[in-house]
Amino acid sequence: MSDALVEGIGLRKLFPIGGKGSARAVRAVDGVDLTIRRGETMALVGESGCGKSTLGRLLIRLASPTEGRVLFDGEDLSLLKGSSARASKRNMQIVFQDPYASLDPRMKILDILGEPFETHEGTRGKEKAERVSRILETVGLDPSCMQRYPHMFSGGQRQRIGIARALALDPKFVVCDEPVSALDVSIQAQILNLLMDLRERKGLTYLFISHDLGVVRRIADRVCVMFLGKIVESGSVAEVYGSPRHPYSMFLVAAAPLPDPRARFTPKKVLKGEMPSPTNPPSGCRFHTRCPYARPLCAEAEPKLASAEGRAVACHFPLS
Amino acid sequence: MSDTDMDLLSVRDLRTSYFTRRGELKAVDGASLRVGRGEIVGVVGESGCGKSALALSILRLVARPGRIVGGSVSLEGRELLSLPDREMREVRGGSIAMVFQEPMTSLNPVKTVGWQIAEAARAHEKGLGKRQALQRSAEMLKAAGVAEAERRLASYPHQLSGGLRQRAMIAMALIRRPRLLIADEPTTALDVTVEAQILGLMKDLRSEFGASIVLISHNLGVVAETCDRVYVMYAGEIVEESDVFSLFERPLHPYTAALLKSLPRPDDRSPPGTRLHTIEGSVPDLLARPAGCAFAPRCEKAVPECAVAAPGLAQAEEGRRVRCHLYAQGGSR
Ligand SMILES: Nc1ncnc2c1ncn2[C@@H]1O[C@H](COP(=O)(O)OP(=O)(O)O)[C@@H](O)[C@H]1O
Ligand SMILES: Nc1ncnc2c1ncn2[C@@H]1O[C@H](COP(=O)(O)OP(=O)(O)O)[C@@H](O)[C@H]1O
Ligand code: SF4
Ligand SMILES: [Mg+2]
Ligand SMILES: [Mg+2]
Repeated sequence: MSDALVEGIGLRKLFPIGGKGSARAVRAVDGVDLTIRRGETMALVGESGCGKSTLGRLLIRLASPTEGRVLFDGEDLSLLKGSSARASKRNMQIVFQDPYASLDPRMKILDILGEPFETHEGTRGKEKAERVSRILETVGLDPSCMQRYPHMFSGGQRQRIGIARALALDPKFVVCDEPVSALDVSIQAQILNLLMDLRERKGLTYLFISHDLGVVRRIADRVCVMFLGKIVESGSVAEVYGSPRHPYSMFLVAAAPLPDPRARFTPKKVLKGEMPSPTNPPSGCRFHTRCPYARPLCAEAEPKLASAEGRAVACHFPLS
Repeated sequence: MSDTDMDLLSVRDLRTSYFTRRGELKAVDGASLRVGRGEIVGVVGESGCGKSALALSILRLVARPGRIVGGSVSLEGRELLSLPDREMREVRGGSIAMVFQEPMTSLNPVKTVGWQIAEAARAHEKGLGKRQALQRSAEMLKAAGVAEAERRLASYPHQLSGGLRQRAMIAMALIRRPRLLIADEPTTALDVTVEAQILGLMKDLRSEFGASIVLISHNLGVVAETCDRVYVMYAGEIVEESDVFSLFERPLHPYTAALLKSLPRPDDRSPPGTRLHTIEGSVPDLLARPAGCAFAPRCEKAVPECAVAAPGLAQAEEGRRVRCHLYAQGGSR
């Protein structure tokens, strides 16, 4: 069995704009290679609009790529048909930031959580209720709540329901797309601990999307930093935070506010300027228009993501 | 020093309620706070604890079914709560300015940014010509860190990024030369690199314009890096007041301490997967507040008294006050 559970190869996702025949497109994911190892938690960080959610959706086939392939357990997902395609889909699930938006308000929790069992295994009646009751317990909710409707739950409880739904069919790989971003600190800690417990108990592999570097530090083993549709750096979380090699990663890490007033005595490295357009990204290195280290080469040639010793960086003049 | 001659703003025992169908919801339940000249004061707490209600009350902008039911708000010694509406409007357009989380809601979508800032300038300074006002707007946008400010004057709000919109809001607030800027979650909708820009800007503005700032945020990191003094709110009450250094180094209230312990930090050194400290349960329903200390049902340090009697805000150390029975007699446990 290979080390890689999920592999994205040359992934590209363009969203055309301006109607048919228009050549313009949002280059949401624009040439990404990425390997997620069995059992690890890979984080995806970067600012809004850089393509994190789109990449997550491509990896679990919620969206199909404009270009490129996704291998799951070594198999090319786009080549699978019928029952094997369905089986592979069971193995890949997603937890959203706001589960409420994806929970039908007119359905009871019993039916929301029972649905995967019904459609995939034909489970009904008492057996369905038993399965739902077990999964509710797994995520720390009282099984008696299955007769209630989504609006009767707090944000933290709703996220538990979202997690329960993702885990119902015992997937191998779960994309967590900003799962705690809408929650308050005290609730956030409960949900993060739950996700860590479940990962251990069920041997899950996560892609953990977040803009919160603190959260990522706790839960993830490795991290990919995205900028404008591309991965610009990856490596272990400790290494990327401790000594970022891509200038953008450096600014991102420096910007994260620390709950330490003494941080104000270290002058902050503040990134200047505005995010370039994902429709018409800058030539060469996409970061060159804002990069204080840019030299002429940066505007001309696109740096490749080059790996060495478990770290990868896409920069002509990486920081050391 | 008595706070009347030193403080710019002094809020005493402020109480604001929303009168809902289910009853009176005490969103701000007896809050007292002061803001010194040139100070950046933080108000921090989880969602629903009453931060926005407090800010809106200071400006007398609480909308129905809400109402200020008691207390006092005085700005440079002048009581605002009893001011006639017309004079209060002048205060809002002059001495106090406010910046919200989502600037789109307070910018006019069909007017250019330049026009809006210039209007604010002209409202503040009667007799200012249109040309001059626009010129002033461009300068203020520049001061708010907007590149190519002259060109941006002609932009409509929707043509700007979130960060630029927030800068335009800040420029519009500052062109009136307010004494006090109240910023309610000004960076919550922004990405971290933009947040860092805006927070840096606020600190510069304090020194350049001498304005005092009330910075409201749910983000402990933002407060730690920006504020001089901090008020921590829980369930409508201020539970701790402290200078920022002592608060983060040695939080006194069990809620503050637990909150800081459960916060995942980017500078954390524990191995990935280490569980976080948690505060069990959730914040109380403000319509069904527990008797005694509002935090008691979740508090690891609670003593029997906590479930029965509501603690007052008591001085625990010089410049530090805590609403907790453990500190009631000036003791520290
Ligand atoms: N369905 C869609 N149609 C058109 N554009 C989209 C769609 N989904 C995402 N985008 C665009 O793609 C880019 C990346 O979006 P997204 O993956 O959601 O970023 P992130 O999750 O990092 O915030 C953004 O510019 C976004 O506006
Ligand atoms: N218009 C309203 N009607 C009823 N209750 C409200 C209204 N606005 C706010 N509240 C309640 O007042 C409390 C404080 O709200 P708010 O000041 O907005 O909190 P924060 O800004 O700290 O998140 C909350 O319990 C909230 O539900
Ligand atoms: S390639 Fe050049 S522009 Fe891009 S990050 Fe590296 S130094 Fe900066
Ligand atoms: Mg997203
Ligand atoms: Mg608020």
